[in-house]
Amino acid sequence: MRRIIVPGIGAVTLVGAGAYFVVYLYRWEWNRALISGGIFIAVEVMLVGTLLLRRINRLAARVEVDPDRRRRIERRLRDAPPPRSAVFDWMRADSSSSAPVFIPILMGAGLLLSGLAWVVERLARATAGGAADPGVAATMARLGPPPGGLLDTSQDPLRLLRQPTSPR
Amino acid sequence: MNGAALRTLVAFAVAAVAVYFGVQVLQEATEYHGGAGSQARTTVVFSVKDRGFKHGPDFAAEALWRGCVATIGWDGEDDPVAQGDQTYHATLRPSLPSDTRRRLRGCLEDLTMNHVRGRVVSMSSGPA
Repeated sequence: MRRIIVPGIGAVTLVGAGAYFVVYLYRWEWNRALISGGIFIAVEVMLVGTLLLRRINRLAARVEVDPDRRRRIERRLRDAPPPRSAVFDWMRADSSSSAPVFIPILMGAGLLLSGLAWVVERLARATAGGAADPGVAATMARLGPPPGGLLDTSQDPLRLLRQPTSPR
Repeated sequence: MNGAALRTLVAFAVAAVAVYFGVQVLQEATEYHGGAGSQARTTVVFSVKDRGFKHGPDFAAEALWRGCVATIGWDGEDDPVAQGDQTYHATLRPSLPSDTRRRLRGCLEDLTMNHVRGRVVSMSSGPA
């Protein structure tokens, strides 16, 4: 009975205060309109608070009404932990997959790098080969054997000291 | 769109239209339009009841009357004259239109002055 009386009185007061608010505005009675508006807001807040409190009490009572049921749920939650995430299962050592996903990734990366190296080698051969030959030749010319070979002693200034009568 | 959503939309539209027209009606009812009535004068008979007011009923009636007629428009006025039993009559010229009469009545009967409450006994318009 009390559950109906309090909201009922509040609702009647709310409707009455709202109606009088409009009536007082129509009659140009501002002070009374302000009082009615204040009563309207106060009753509205009271009704909202009453409804919320009743809902909270109902939820609390529902939780506390059966402690056996609560204990049973807690035990079930302890016994059944949440399932393991399967997002990175392929990285686990005990994964059911026999071919880790890294293998095709590494194979693909190796193929791409080999192709890139081939392209670089081809490009280097086409662009650097002709320009390098004169420089290499000039460098190698200084390292070459003297004219006439290494056994030719005609240019040796010490030849007369070794063989004074050697005819040539 | 299912039926429940359509009903909600219709209810929302009806409520919006009702609120809009309600606000319009209330705005029209509480707006001061001014102007004058078709008669020559408006006579107001009102009574005052004071509680703890230290300056007497005559002063209370005059203060209440002046405070209220100051918010409306008129060309000439007669100050409140006592008729006995804390009842007074006063006159405004020219007559007041209906919404201005409602405004004057509301001011006199509202809690305009501390410790003083007025009540309009009669308000009539007529020739000079």
